Amino acid sequence: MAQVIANSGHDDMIHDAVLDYYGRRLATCSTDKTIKIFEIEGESQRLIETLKGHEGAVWCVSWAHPKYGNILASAGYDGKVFIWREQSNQWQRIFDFALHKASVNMVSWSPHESGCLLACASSDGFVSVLEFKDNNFSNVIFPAHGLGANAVSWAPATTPGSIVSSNPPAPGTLGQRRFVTGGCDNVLKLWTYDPATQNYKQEREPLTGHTGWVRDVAWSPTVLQKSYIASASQDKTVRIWTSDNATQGQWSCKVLSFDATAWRVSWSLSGNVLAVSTSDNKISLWKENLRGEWECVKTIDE
Amino acid sequence: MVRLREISRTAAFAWSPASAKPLIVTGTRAGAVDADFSDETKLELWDLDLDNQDQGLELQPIASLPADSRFYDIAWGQPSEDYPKGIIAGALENGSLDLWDAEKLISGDSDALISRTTKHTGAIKSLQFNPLRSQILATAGTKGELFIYDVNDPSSAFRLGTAAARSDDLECVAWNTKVSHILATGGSGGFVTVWDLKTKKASLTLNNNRKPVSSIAWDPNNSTKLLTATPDDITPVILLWDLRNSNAPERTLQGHEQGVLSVSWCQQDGDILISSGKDNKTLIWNPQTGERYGEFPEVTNWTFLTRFHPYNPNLSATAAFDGKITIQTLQNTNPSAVQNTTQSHLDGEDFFTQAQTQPQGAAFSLAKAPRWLETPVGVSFGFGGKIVMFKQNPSQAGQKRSSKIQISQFSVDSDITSATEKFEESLKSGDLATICESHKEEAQSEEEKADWLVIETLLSDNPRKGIVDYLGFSEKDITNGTTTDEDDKKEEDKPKKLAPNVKAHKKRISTFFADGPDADEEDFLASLSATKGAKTDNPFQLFSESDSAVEKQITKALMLGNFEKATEICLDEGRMADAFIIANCGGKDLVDRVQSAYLSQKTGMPSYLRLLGSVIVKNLWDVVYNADLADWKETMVTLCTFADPAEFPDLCEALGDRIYESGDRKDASFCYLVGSKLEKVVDIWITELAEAEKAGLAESSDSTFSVHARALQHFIEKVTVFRHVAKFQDNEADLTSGWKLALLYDKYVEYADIVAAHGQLDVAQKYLNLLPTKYPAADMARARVQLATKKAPAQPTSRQPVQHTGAPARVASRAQPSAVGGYQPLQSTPANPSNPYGPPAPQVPTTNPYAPPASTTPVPPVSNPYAPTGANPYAPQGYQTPLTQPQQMAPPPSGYGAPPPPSFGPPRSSTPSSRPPPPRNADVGNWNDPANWQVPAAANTMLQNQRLGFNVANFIKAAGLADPIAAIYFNVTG
Repeated sequence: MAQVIANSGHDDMIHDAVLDYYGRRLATCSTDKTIKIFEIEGESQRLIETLKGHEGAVWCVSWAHPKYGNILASAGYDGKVFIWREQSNQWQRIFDFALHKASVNMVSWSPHESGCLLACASSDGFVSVLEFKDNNFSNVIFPAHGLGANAVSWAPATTPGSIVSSNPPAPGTLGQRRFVTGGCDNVLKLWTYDPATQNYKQEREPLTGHTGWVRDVAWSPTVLQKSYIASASQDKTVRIWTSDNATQGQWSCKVLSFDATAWRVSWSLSGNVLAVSTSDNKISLWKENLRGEWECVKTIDE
Repeated sequence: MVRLREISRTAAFAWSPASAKPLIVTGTRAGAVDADFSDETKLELWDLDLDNQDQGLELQPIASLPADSRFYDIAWGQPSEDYPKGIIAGALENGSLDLWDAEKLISGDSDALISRTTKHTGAIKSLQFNPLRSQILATAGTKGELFIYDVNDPSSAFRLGTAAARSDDLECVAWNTKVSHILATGGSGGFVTVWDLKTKKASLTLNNNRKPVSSIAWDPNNSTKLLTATPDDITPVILLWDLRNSNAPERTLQGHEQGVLSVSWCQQDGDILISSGKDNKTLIWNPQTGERYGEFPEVTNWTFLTRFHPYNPNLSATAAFDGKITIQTLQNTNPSAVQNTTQSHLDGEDFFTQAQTQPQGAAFSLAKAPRWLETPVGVSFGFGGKIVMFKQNPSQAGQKRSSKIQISQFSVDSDITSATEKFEESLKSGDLATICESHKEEAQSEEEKADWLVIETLLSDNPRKGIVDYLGFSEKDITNGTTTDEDDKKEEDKPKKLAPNVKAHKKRISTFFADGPDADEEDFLASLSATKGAKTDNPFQLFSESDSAVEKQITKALMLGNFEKATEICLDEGRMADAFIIANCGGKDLVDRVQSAYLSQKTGMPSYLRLLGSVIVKNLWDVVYNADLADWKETMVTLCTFADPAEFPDLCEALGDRIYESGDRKDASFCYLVGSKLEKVVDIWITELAEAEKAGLAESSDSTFSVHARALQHFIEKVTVFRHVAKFQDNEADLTSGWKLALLYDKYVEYADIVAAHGQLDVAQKYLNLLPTKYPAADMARARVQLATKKAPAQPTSRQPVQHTGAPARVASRAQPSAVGGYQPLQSTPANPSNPYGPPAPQVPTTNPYAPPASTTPVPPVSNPYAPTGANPYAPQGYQTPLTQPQQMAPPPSGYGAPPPPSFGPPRSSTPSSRPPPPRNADVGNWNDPANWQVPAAANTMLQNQRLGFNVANFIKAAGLADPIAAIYFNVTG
């Protein structure tokens, strides 16, 4: 059943591989400083493009929502964020962002309802948010994790609980701009856009508990009663932070333990299954069980 | 290379082993003179405070303790139960080993000293905690003295080697990183000794080319390799040894101009080494290859100690005899901006003092990305239940590294998958009854159960009868009841010979129910008439003696055949029964007149008469609107019995509305169901859905998603079955707004999302197809499923050769300048809404929306399936600027294009010519070269600066001749 791309064409390690909105195209990036785009056709795949331009390892690629075009963002060790667009079957770099002073470790597009926003987390300790709007570009950049920011993930555009009731959500609740970041200071921080200052404000005290770098964060796309944030850490744990609608601002935490550094966490599209990758090359899938505890439902081993 | 912080001390230092908040402990260095010539000896603690943007470069100690003697070395051990912040160990000039409790030191406690152990007869030069067994400590010092301690009982320390064996001073000690009982020492005698704690003997000696050794570092990954630093100014080298061949070093690192004093081998990446020495330089190497990555800014005196942060290798610190410890990060890509930041802290007089000691030398970035940033393995989800994984392939040293990608179908939530599959299966086989049955059994609430019962009932061959049955009016009861009523009534008027007719009537009613909506009310009325007609069997005299004048008149009229007149007279006289009889002969109109006269004249009549009235005038609305709701079941039965099939749904709806207003949702939904009023019942069900979910959450403590998905699944099944049963046709599919079923459509979209996420794209598609074509959320969702489920596109034969050569198919369209030049013009109308990413059907085969148009067809501008819609922020209005006007696209002459004014430039004015133009393909990589970076000169602060950081020159290059969009960005950001 599994489709394997054994020879990606990359000359070195791959650091990210993500499917586009339709699941038809796969973007990968590597220490070899390139990005590759594959067309997935059933059980086969075809390399359609190699994007060059980064001058260091490329860490992260992220597809924008197709509403904004066929757009890919990339970030790398050269401290740069590039935005690539395909038009008429040609890929072109349409934008460079080079304000970060060190490796940009992750980029993430906001939910499309919130606008065309790209959040970037950098080893220089800063987080930036680029906004593309009305043929214009703007950015805010602010200190987030003094020891280095490793990861960023947006909250869903709608507040949890709002679709459970049959009432339409209040106008103000749509398209919220909120995200979580994780860094080398072992903490997670939550940020919300403040229209008054046009900057992002830290929501509350950092979420603490990890005893190693937070390598990845993932905010579940679910918009049911609760908000879920997963964080992967070098302390060989994944923490799942939960906030009830009723207890806004209060986050409780469950800890999943592993045998090796947890590198990546990713939620399924419905937000109910969490995938964790650890440096012992294991992938595991986790689900909340009947008692509200997380259990491993599947392990994909070598 | 960013200089993050400075500590103004000439001191030995050690990093806190903690992973978060970086701290440094310092002890006044032995053999050095402080800048202020003070002879104070202190143990001090420093917090880097990197989160604090207001913290200047220079730190102040957060804790300080006087010490008895100066330090040659200092170490900070791992936290333990007794010492949660670890133990700080000082190698003192007076030969004693002092241990402090780090926690007490941090909290400012003055009794932080744990113990003082004096085993050495001379100064201790070096000490190190065992990295694998953190309570074990080794100290090395003058006269070859080497002691091993357990920090829990330092007095029980033992000595390795004997006084006679080696009288040279030991300068350094280092534990093996992999084997806990192995350590190495080096010293002025030019020998490196590898000791085995198990035998308590020297197991190996390296002659180090007979040069003294100032520092030793073990390979972080390979237990047989170590590095030695040579402090000798004549051969200032670092040697890499493999103990398996101890005769000669494996590699020699040459680069320092004078003696090397300290080396620190990165534990997280064996390809990075820092060394420092008497040439005032701190160099960064790849010790495996000997390649030199670069160097930290040079200082003004010997750099005697350099150390990586044990946990966060981004950070390292170097101590020099110029009175400073410099803390720096390995990561930096933007030196000019950094220098600006640095200088912003300077003012006035301070500037000159600072400028004088400003380190010289180039900043640099590592050409190679450090390993601790390299994600080796990852996972992410894709649309349609896909899961993408990548992991590093196992590789031997020296081999090219590679990774493998795997895409698999993901099916974890078997609940949803199996539920969907089961349901779709049942639907296909048409076995709706089974579905209803199982749902009835599983139903969580009475309402739920009732819904399914009704649906099941509707499923039967004779729905109305079923409804009547369901309401508890079995055929038998009704007929009996009716019979009794009718009998009573008729007995009164016509006592004789009624039985057969009544039977006939009864039969009619039965037929009615049996026939359902097809039954003809005329028949019923006819039978009533027949009943009355039966009276003719009863003989009577036309004019009897007793007849009154009126009666005679009637008789006369009758005889004349003037039934109308006769009836009128009867009515005037109040002889209702007579009027009926006569009217009966005069035809239906007349009967109707009498009936209505009778019914309207009667006040306080029995309800059956009112009901009868409604039935007769075919106005069941009266019943629906006015009947007591307590009797709604009876009302429903009446509707089932009499209502015109065309009117039946609306009548049911009206009844349902009334019931709903009165607050009974269950009964209301019953009425809606019977009336096949999908939109009404859906409203109720959606409310129930929310409640069921809430209940589910409260009861089961199941995961939110599971409860939600299950509730939604039930809801969808109910609606779907009901649609089947009611043969519901959505008449609003072509509307563009104001759908009655909008709420249902939302649920369909959500459901489709969930099942699609579980890989059941065909099911998702099925439900999305139920949405109106113009429904806003439908486009995107449908297009997504369609694109995702597309089979491999059939390649047009004309492009086959291109494919065979392995070249991407896009070549075909590249050959067409028109497509390139005129891509994406403004459109006055939005793209085909049913598939915004799809090309217009005529131009491109719809089977392959990604494919470029066949090369024989002129490329229409909108043919790119990925072309964004009008809302695309990347497609600004102004980009239509003709390509023949390049000057419009050129960047503004000044501002971003201009190099920073000298005063803001990096302080390397002493070597302005040393920087060659950036060789873009150089391996070493000059991509951080300031010449390539166009940072506005005034940009001193990072905070909230709406600055433009992209590289104009590169940008133009990358964008080809002149990208119109680029022009836009240049313009708007000015």
